[in-house]
Amino acid sequence: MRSKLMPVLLAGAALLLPAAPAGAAEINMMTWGGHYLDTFRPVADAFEKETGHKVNIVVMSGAKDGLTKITAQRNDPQVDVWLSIESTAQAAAEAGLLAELNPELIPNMKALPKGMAGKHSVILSMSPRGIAYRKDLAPFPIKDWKDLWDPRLKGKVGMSFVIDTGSPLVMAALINGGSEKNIEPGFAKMKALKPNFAGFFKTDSESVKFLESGEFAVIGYAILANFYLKLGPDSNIKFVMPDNPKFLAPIPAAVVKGRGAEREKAAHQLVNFILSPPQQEFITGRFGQVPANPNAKLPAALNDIIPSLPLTHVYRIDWETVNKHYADWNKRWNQEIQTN
Amino acid sequence: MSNRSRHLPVTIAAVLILLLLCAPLIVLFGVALNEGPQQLFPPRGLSIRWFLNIFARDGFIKAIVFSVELALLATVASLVLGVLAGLAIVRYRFFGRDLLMTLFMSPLIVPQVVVGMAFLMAFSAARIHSSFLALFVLHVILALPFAIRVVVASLTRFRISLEEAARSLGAPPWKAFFLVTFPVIRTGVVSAGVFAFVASFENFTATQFLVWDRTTLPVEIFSYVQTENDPTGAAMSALVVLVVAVLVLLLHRYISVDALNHR
Amino acid sequence: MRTNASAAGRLVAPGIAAVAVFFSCLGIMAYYSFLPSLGMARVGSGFTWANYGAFLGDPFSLSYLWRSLRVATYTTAIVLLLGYPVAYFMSYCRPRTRMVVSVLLLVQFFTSYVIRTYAIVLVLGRYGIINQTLQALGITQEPTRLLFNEFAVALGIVIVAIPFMVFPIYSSIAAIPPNLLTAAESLGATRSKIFREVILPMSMPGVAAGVVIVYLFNFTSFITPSLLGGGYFDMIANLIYDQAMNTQEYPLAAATSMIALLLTIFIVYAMQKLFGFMIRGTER
Repeated sequence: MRSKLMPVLLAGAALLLPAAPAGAAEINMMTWGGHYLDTFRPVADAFEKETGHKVNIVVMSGAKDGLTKITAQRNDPQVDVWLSIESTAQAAAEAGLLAELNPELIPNMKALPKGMAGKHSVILSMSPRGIAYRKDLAPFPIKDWKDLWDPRLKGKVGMSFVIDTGSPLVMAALINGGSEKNIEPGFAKMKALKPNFAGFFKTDSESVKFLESGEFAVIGYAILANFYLKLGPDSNIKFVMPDNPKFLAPIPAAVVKGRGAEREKAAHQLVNFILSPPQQEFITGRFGQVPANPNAKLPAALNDIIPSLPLTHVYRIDWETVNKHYADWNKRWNQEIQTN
Repeated sequence: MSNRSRHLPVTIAAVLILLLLCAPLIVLFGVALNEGPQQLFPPRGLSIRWFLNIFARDGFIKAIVFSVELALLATVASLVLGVLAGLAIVRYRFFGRDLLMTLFMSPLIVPQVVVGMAFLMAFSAARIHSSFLALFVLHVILALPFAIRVVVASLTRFRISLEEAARSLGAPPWKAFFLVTFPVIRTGVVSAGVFAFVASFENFTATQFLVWDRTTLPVEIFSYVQTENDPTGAAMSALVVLVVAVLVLLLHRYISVDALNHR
Repeated sequence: MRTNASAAGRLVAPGIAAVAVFFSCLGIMAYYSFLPSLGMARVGSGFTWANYGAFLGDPFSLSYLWRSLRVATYTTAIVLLLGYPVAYFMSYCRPRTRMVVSVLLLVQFFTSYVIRTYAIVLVLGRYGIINQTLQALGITQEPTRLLFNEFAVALGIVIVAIPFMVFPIYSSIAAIPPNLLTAAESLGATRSKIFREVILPMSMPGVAAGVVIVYLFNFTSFITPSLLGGGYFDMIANLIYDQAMNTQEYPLAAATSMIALLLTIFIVYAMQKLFGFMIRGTER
């Protein structure tokens, strides 16, 4: 039965493959679902109105899921524009999956501060990282990364290694005289934090749920976008963005290689469109992010949450180094830090 | 059956266990009814805004439609395959029967993340990029172990001689099956169908790899709660619980779980 | 039981075709398990046993496997002990009660896994119902930690798995011809004797179905240990997920899966044989 069914189904699938009309291109953008999808759908519609290029949005459940999908499609790429995080964008570039960006097709790139545009990807926005805590459960107002080690927080801190590809470990290394190139101080510092750990989370939503239920009084490394809609004077949750190091996770856009000149050009145009100030303000306002284009205004609500900062003062992790050691660090973390 | 009172210890145990199973449901409804965006229990304030929020986002509606569509098709397909294979396994003695049964269980053995990745690689290599086709095949395979295992269990107790008698009286095999065998294994098929439906409807881990142009409900909820971790997810689950409960109560005449006792 | 290979073959063929698709996908995984692992979604070329060595030679990795086997085994036993009375209760209670119980069990399946597990957090958590009750009664002064340990994970696994056990067992008990029980009763058999001699043996196919499904379900638990174990009690599926989705060492994840797969196929095969023996034993 199945043997007869399969060819029929396969033939049906062939019909579903998109066929681009002449002139205008039809491109696929891969990004996160949920709120991201709700945000980028109107952006894509506005882009279509302006250029005639149709944009389909396909979702990934996480940046690494996106990398998995792009890697699996290596011989038959399906994505044109890919939004992710820096570690996965770096890994994809290293694996030769990404097209080199053509700055001439992305005029808005000229306005960006130094270091925001790379060979294979360009940063669209920066997502603040810091500490989130419960005002009612934390014994004192937390301000600095070093406060996490305060003995008053014994058994109250929720931590993660996997969020932002090991960034919490890099943070610990930086405040202990090391860096991603010298990680031992990071492990030493994290070991010293063991009495304060309440537990470990693996996904963004776990961190929010455990903070709300009171299981964690403090999220030691938190993503502002996860808490952005929950903050306010009435809220019992506070988010702080400590200094030294200041962490903002960049959201890069990349153009995937091997989709043909026409689609590649349209993909560049879409990236340029997203970098235009009106779109920048719309997008970052929805997530509480810092726009990459300095001509775009910072979302007003963000002024009360994070310090005003020149983007150049943000610590930029060398992802080539992290990616090279990440598997080893992950294993050491599981064995040395994430144990009772 | 009479003499219920003689079962008293079993009754007490069963009621206690069922109460234990009620606890998560009560919490679920409590969380869904929170007034604010926090997921607390007992709820702080009461409101149905999170239930209304489901319908405010067409992403959820599309995902529900896709999940139901997929689960129904996967259930039907896996039940057909499961009943056929179950008949063979129960009625015939052939070489490697136990091994075959084990192999049919294998989609349950392999961790979902591996199933998902293996399918992604295979389907990408075959250049299939359609949520529907890839997920249909995946979900049929994931539902099949439930279908086969439960069908085998209900067929094992059924005396084949009845169907043989029907056939010796001149009924064609399919008629003998539908008139004699099927009514007897109907309870089993219904519960196999429920398992199969759930196996598809609930699947997240393997499904996330194959989601492409359309998303399923669990993937949609997962994406949603990454940035908006409010009680909408709980409200969605609570709503599904209500719909399922109402459907079962309305349809129980047709899919009655105790059809067998009234023969 | 008949021995007609071609008739049996025709019936199982479609099912085998479906499983064949599954196994050809697994074949890709098996192939990957012998490639050099480079991490971050990159895979080398050439043939190596290194991924198998990396898992089998590392006590820390193996500890995930032993933990999973241990937890799956005892939670399945508990689920059987809790599920059987419910299934039995369903077989004799009033139809209306049975309806309510069926709905209660059915809807368990339909509540999102993550959300059902999170409900357990709200019961067991520091500020959960149990802790609040204990403090209100003055039994404890401070919130006690009930989460993030083996107990919480096992409890979560058991609660989620019960319906998977109840339905197959109930199907088997319900299929027992009522006149068999009436006959036994009229011959003067006691209730417990009827249970031991008729109901229990005749429900074995259902028990077999439930135990195998629940064992596999529990062995591959993923969300429950992740959410209720707080990172301290990860099981084998969490390790594989970590290798596949976090460090993205596909060949390593594939090799770990192959080992877990072979081991569980063996266990399920043994269970199948054991139950087959028990069921056939009752047919004599």
